[in-house]
Amino acid sequence: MIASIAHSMPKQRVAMIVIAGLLLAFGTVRSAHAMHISEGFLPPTWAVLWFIAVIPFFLWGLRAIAKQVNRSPQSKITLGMSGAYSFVLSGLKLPSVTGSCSHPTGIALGAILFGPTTMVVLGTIVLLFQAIVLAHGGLTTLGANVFSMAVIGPFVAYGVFKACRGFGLAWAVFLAAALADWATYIVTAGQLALAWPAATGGILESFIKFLGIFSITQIPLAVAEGILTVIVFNLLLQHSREVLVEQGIISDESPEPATGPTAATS
Amino acid sequence: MAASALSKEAMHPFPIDMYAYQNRLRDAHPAEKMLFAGLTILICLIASSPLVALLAIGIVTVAVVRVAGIPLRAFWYFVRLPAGFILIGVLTLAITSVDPANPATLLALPIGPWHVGVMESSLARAVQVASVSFSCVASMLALALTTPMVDITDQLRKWRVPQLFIELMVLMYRFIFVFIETAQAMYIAQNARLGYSNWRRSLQSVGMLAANLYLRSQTRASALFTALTARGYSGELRVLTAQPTWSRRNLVLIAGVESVLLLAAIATW
Amino acid sequence: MSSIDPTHTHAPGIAPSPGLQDPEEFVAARSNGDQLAAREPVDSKTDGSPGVLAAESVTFAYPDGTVALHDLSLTLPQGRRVAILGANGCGKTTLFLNFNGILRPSAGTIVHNGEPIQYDREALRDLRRRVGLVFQDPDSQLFAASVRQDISFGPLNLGWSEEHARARVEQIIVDTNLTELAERPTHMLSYGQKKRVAIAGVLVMEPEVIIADEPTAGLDPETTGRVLNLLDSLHHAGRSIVISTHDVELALAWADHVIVMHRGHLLAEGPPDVVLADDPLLREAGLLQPIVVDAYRQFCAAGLLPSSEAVPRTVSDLTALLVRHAAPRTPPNSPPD
Repeated sequence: MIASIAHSMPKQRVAMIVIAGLLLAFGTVRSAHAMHISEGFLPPTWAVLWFIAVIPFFLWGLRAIAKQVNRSPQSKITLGMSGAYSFVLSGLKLPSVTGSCSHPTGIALGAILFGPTTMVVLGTIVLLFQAIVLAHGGLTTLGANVFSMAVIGPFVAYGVFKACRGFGLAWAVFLAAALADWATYIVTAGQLALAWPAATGGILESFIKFLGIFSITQIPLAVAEGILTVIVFNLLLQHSREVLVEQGIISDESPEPATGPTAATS
Repeated sequence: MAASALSKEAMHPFPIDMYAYQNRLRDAHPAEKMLFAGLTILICLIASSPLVALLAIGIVTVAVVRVAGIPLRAFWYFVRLPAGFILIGVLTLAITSVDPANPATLLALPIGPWHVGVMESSLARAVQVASVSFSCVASMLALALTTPMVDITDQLRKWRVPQLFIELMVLMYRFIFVFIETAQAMYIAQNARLGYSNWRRSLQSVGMLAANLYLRSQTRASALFTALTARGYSGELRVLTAQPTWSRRNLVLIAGVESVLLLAAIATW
Repeated sequence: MSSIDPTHTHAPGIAPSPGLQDPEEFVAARSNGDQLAAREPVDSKTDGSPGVLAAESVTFAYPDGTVALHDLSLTLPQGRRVAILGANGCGKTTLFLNFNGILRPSAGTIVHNGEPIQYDREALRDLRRRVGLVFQDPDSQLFAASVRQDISFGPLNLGWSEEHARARVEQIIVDTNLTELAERPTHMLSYGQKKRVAIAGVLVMEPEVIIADEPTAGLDPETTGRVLNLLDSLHHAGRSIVISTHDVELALAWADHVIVMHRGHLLAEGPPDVVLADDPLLREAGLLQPIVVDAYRQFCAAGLLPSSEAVPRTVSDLTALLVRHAAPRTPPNSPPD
């Protein structure tokens, strides 16, 4: 259709008009939730493939939860509350340096507090609710979004947290949060590139383009979220250390000072 | 009571959810609405044609505005919510590396040794992806704006989705609202004490809010567990589900509308 | 639901007894000095009967070592309106959780209908049906997104058939005047509406005693009236109603029997117009004397009223006393000044 109109008008003009229109439309958009692939953005094949990809992780998470719940009926209630908390956390406004507000993801905090396998299930429900009640993300793209935000993100966060414990708690938390965010962006960029390779440069060019676009907004956001997560963690350590110890997040005998990347903000 | 209900709705955090309880299709069988949204999304995605997408947007708009009685302005507002992602995404698809010598190149800007610009194919793809995406968003909203979450979880129960998953959905949905109320109260209290006067304080305040909310969520969990135990909870959150009825008229309408869409999809293939 | 005077929490209408719905008649009956005739003919003492629930030398300590109940012995009389008073942290809520079998005394026993309660699964299920607990914060009690579904939770836990449960739920929705809220999602209810749904969710299990923790805390006068009306209608159906409250005025006007707790101990129990007229006792419990009692005392001190009268329980009672003693043309049966 576009091509046929283009033949009757100077091509360049058409292109300029369309691009200008898109940019203009973009200007009226309030905020970009660049992490959620929105409804209908993935072709059917990829939509289905990402669903298949997350099934094993989801079943793993569900089984882990089921075991926990069978041991104590209270844990089902606690899991529900933790999931609701994760949803609200992802909706908190995160102050960004430019003055405007963005949203943190809470992926790392959730993964550290509740464990990555649990987060697969809770994250799936969070993403399902976000699609339905907020129109963030979508139902057809749920598989892809779960893969990046409820599988890769939490596992990277948890892995980094465990691996970096030697650098001190604050650094481990900071790196877990920031790297989980970056891992999520990289996966999302990859998902988009696989679905929509560039005409000449193919998947790689498309990947670089999407990654480039995300990096503008998301690199600072990931750093901010890292700092925020450290602040939250330090507050939990100060005021309710026993809660963290009880849940096995930290061991009892590690009296670590709350120092690290937050030194600048506190 | 009407006044208190109104004020509650005015501060409802999710207007989409609010419409789900107050529209003319609320009592329709949830599976009918899921069928309508699902088929429309499926046809749009597979057809992958801007014309079919436009037709679908038209059909869905009529269904949402004329049949369900949701204001057109509200519907458009919700359709535009994911516009940020969609537009950034399709701009990224439209702007690509180009060969300036290629006759299909519409725009070419030299950047270093490369040329960046727009090609006929990349532009067509951008328009296609944007239109299909918006049509799917609109279809999904047709479901979300007319179907209360209770009906969705009830329907999932009938479809034998794992009980545990549904129970977690039920708990999470209910307590999202409780925690948002708590978070809003905390935010107002912090703001009143200048907790958001600059970036550093803002970050500190958000951190305190998140930490407090976590602790509250855990105490809330034990309080709820106690209260549910008092009502006989021993591990299962069973409730009575609604018994919606199928409407022959709705099913015929859905079949008719989807056939039209399907024919359009075949015609543009 | 009968209308109540929203400007006064203790309008006589909220504590009617059968056949005495008219406030005028209510006041008149009280002013004749026939104190108890206005209510059901109940004796305010527990008269040695086992009561519906009793704690016998109950001590309860939380895992963190806090001892919430110290060797506490008290009886909740059958078929009465009981108010348990005490400052925050006096152990009221802990006691309720012991009554329902959620907590188990560290020492002592909880007695239900004369039998010590058992803690096996079946016995607990039966106990929890018979002893309904309404919690203070409805947001910690309502877990489902729809009113109807939340109310159906208890019946299904009792193992009732779906038809029976469905019929009971619909009946309770009608009985508790929740019909227009039944289709609402829980999160779109006001606090007071949530409270009423929480009560319905307990009531549907057909308990013989309803224990409500601070049922009127944080409610506006109109909603307080609605909640009390609801509890009263349950009482007239023959149930024992127990509430905890800090509101001495409410306890004085509403209850048949009052229990005062302090730091896990029983401080006093007895008829409201006796217990709540004991200023030193109330101070010890961290409570204040009801304004009606205070006003009555001051009127007595000023010579407006003789101190021989029974303590008035509502403003209307006090007014009636004043009318009787201060008006120049008093009925012949009024005592000479």
